Amino acid sequence: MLNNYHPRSAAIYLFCWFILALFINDLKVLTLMTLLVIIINFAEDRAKALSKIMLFIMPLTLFIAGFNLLLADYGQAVFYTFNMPLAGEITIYQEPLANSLAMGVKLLLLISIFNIFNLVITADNLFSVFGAYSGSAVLLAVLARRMVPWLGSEARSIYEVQTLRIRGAEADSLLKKVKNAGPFLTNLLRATLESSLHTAEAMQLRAYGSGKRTYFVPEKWQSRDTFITLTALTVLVFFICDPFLAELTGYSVFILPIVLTGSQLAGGLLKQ
Amino acid sequence: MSTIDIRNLSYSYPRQPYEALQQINLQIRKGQFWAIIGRSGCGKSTLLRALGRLVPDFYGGTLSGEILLKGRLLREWNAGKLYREMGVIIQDPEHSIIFDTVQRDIAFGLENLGLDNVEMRKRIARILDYFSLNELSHKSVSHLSGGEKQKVALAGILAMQPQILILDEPTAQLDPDAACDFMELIKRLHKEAGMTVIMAEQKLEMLFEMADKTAVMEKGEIIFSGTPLEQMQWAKKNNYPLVPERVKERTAHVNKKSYLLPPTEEKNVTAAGYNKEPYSRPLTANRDVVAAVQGVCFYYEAGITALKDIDLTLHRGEITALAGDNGAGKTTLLKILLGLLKPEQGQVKVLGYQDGKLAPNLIGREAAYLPQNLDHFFIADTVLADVMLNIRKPGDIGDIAQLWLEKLNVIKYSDKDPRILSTGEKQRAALAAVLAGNPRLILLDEPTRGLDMIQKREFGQILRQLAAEGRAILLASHDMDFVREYTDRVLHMQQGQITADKNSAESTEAI
Repeated sequence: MLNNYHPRSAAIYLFCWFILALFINDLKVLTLMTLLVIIINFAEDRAKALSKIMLFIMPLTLFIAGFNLLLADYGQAVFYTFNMPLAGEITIYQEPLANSLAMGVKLLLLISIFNIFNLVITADNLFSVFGAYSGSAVLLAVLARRMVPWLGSEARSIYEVQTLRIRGAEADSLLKKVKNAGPFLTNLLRATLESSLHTAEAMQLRAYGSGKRTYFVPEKWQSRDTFITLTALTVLVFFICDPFLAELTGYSVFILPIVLTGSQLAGGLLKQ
Repeated sequence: MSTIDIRNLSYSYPRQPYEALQQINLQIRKGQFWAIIGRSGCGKSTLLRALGRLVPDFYGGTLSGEILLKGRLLREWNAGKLYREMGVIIQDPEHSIIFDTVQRDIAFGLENLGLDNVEMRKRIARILDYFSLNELSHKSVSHLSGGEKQKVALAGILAMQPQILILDEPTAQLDPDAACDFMELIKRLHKEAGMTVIMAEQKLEMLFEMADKTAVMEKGEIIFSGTPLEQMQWAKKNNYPLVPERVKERTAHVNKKSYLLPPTEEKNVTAAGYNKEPYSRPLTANRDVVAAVQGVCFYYEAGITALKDIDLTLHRGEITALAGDNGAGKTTLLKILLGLLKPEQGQVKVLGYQDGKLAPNLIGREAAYLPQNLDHFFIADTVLADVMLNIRKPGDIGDIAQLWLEKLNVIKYSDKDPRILSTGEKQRAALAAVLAGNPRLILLDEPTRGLDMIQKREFGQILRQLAAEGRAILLASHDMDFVREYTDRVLHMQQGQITADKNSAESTEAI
């Protein structure tokens, strides 16, 4: 479990995953990474939080991928051809299909990594990572981190109330639904800003930023943290210097996510 | 010498044409307990924020005049030293707690003061003990009740060992029991530790008992300051409305401080929460059933029972209250009636529609809901447009909306953004929107939260009028005074069950 690591090493490890996810475009590698990250999610909280997010994200991903596919006019290999009323003959090529799927999987992967970050790096941990610099940037980071779970519950509450009113207003058409998203977002943004302001007030009232801080529970850097950090940084170096190192060592990019996952497992076995 | 000396303090928020504080002068001595009272929106919170140095630092605006703490200008104090002297608790405990666990949160202020680990542990142990929070020390804050959260917020402040405690409506979000416990705690701190306390609060009965001095605010000014006894005499002379009836009655035979009952007797009266004969009227004329719930059970994800075997019938022309502690299941029951939540067991019939089929078609028209947080309610950018949203009658929608705004005395805000109104104004604007849809069933969640005594009275009278027109009203509330005065029937909820179903008078006496 990533929870057993020092927040700083966990943050570096997740950062490495994030960079790989951002720059790799190969569908097969992305699929492998997504599977591994889902396993890590499962180890953290049995993927409870992730499954809730996926309920919203999956339809969105399919919608984006489908839309992208219909509008793409490049490619050589024909995958499927069909007639659409008004639009005429539509040809779907294999290249944009692969590209759309890759982008969809990438979105899922990035969200899964972000979900692990939320589970592992709590607001408390952020203080451990950046606590030495009790400035406004840390304040901002802590507030932003606190906002994530809070936003979920607040969004639900606003949605419930507004659904009741909008249902009453018989807003069944898509156009009206899109139009009604405006007040929902306005209220959510307003509530978020107000909540951030109150939390910042409370932090100020507890003398935050008034001088050098001490720590009630100092996080201990252990050998497993050194191990996982070094592995993550090595993976990152290999990825950045990919053409040169691939030629020199003959490694395949497939190995990088496997090494990352393995390092987490191996680190867990190291003595505390 | 005064501990806090406020001289000619004026403040205006950015882009506001009027001053939120006007020429405030106040001297607060060591060990005194000051009650700051006044109608909602009169400037109490702004004054306390100025004392905590949150205005203008956090809000901008213009501040003039001086605040001296121990003879030194407040703005010259280093934050660390200032908050060692002065602890400030804001209204909502949710926002006062920064960390996820109780012990960790209490440690936060101590870390900021740069204390060493041994000292931190010593102080945390002492404060946990004082507040009887030992069992909760490693618990996640999200699992605590409202009262416990407020205690944790107070513990976090007191661990920093301030001499002055500033509290802005600390019991606003608490149920009556938790509020009573919290006030007892403050009383103990004042008496035993000799702390200087400055508190703004709407629950005046409790505050009058504890305070040495009161300051009455109106439109940003202090219009009176003196002892509670002097204040009551002043209120009588000037016909000032914000004095609790119970306290007023006792002034009839006062000599010095005897207007207060002995503590035990007082507690009983407060718990009963009544001040005059309860509202009662014959209900025989209209007994049509508007909503009925039978054997309803609801469980949260973790298998926690939220509602168990709920049976409930709501009648036309009846005002029914759901009372009970935080987490008793009141809001869940309202959501089930609205079709927002589906019960695991049992039947729900609302306005003739079975099992949640009501929601898509008739909510907002036949049944209306006013949530706890009114900021979530508004959709349009002006009050008028928001009210118009709910009207589906053919004809002149604008005229109907204006009629309701006039009835609820918010017509002057029709062009304003409803979100910037005061709590009482928001309440009335939202109610206008709800009523413009001409609903037969009105569901209200904590409708008196944030309202002062006068606003509550006005709101109660509106409810009575609506009931007289034949609407069924169900409200979830902690406010037992309001419940007794303005409702016909009270359903007491405890741990997801209805434990009593009585008329208001019987019910409050039974408590």
